[in-house]
Amino acid sequence: MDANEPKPDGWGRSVKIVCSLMLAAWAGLAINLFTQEVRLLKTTAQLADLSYDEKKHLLDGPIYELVKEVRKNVAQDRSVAFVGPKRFGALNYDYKFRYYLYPRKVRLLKADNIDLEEIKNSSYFAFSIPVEEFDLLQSSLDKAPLLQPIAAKRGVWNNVDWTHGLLAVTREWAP
Amino acid sequence: MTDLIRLAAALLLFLFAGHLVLSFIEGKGKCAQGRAFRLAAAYPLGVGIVTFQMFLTSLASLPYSIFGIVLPWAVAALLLWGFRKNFPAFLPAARPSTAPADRRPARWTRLEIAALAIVGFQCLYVLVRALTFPLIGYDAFAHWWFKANTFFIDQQISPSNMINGYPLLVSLAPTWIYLCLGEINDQLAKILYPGFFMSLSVLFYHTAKRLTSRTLAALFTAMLATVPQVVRHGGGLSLNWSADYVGYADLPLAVYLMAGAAFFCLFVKTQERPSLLLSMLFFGFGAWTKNEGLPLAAFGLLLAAAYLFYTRPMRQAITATLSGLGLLLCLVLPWMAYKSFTGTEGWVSQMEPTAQAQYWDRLPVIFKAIAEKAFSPPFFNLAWVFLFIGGLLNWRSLRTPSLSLYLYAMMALQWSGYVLVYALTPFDLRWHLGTSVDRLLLHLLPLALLVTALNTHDLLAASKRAWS
Repeated sequence: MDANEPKPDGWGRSVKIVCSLMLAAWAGLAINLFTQEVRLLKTTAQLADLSYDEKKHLLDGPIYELVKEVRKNVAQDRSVAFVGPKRFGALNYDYKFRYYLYPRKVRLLKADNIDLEEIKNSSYFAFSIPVEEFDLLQSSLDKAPLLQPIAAKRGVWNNVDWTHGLLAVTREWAP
Repeated sequence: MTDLIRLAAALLLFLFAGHLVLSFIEGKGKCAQGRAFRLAAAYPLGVGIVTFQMFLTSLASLPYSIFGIVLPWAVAALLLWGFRKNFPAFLPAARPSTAPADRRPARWTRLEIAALAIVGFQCLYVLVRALTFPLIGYDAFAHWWFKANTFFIDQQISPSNMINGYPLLVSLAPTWIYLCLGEINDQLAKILYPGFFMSLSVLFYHTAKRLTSRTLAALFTAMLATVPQVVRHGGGLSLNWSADYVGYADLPLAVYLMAGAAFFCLFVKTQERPSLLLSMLFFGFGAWTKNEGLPLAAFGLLLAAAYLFYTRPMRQAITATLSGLGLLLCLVLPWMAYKSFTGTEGWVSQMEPTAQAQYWDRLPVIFKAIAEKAFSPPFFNLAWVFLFIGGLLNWRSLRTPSLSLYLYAMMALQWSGYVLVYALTPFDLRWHLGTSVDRLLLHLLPLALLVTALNTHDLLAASKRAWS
């Protein structure tokens, strides 16, 4: 046998060692995953007694409260113009509002650039925003005087002062 | 309790319909061996075929009803039972093994038991996790499950709710569950995703076992089940809306791709034509799941055709390729035609292949973003690292036509398609990459792990040969 040729048993052992090391590396990294899973399962167990509605409230926060107000007050064939927050996952709030309220038609607006025509063409106007964004909304709505309040609430959610409201668009103003 | 019974009934139709289609295509043979493998194949097959049926029902302007959806399957079952005396029972009883004692499967080793225990724990985790909380994921609210709500409330699909021109499998599957529940309950309907997770695990295990060994299959299935991104899509790993992907279409697409590749591998091993048809059927349902599934289906057919023309007489190859093409077109064309007639094209139609130079400039950015996500352990552990290491160590397997080469080619073709889309995207490139690369990597992850299992098997076999 050529002295320079690698010994067959050495090659076989090397392959097994490399495979074992790779498996160990994988398992080491997977420990993070298991830790995360166990932590989430504990949270899950703590929240097990909550109803479906309470869990929705926990996950969706103030938007879900507003959704319940809209469901209570707005018929399914009506439309709602909605202003959500500029941050905190703004689009997520918009899409959740639309998701929960179908078949009501939802028009999504931006607080800093409100198209009053969109409000005029809707049956209702709703907003759910941090309090700090309310001044911006108020200045836009000053130009839209004929909105009749139906429901409003202010509270704290995830350490943020939050406010939401539902207003009817009056016939005198709407085209 | 009533809800759970209704939920079980909804899932049962998926399994039943899938099993009927599986049995119908298999004919007198039985290319899908083993109860667990049959169930794992029947589930995605059933989800695909029932949602496709719902689409056709809606095209015929018939409102959705439980009776209307179940009836064709009841009739199909009776016809199959009547015409074929050997129609297999839904869960055929296990026959006692007649193999000689020395050919019976070896006893489970501790390593295999540990690996499968991990898979079991992960399955249990995604099931508990998915069923404990209502829908969380962003795209689920924005697209997939919003459409499910509209289909349930309208009792049909409507062009006005066709957002982005995405295919409808992922939206119509929860619609069917809502129909059975009688109300919208996204928490219970999320059971679809643990179902896909379990189906993927079992399909992967059985395919890997067939191609490598039981020990490697168990180990690599445990690895697949512990990839964080797979868990995020199967059951969720967070209560944060931006990090929970249950309700997305990516895990189902990964399952259809895995199933398509699995049945193609079975076809190569056994040369049974039903396996090839089932492979094409799964690829077709991939196209019915997500737009990305369309090139996957085309590449699946292309590679199958290449194999057939390489190994079979010309006439046989043409017949088999045309059968596969026909099957794919049956699944793809109705949806394409619907989109075309209703004008519900998505953003893909906004891509304009002009000004080539700037697209070349995008390539480094694209490859960097892909590499950052692929080699990031919080997303994929070391799956993509192992793929490259295995490929480098076992590069000889790529010199001749083999299943490894097929799987590599499938991944390379699909990735070339993804890179092309990124190069032509009408959106901001970095935003587009940041919001989608991890999900595209998920589509091909099971194949990456399967080819790594094959590489490991080859290397271990080579080391044993060297030893002896």
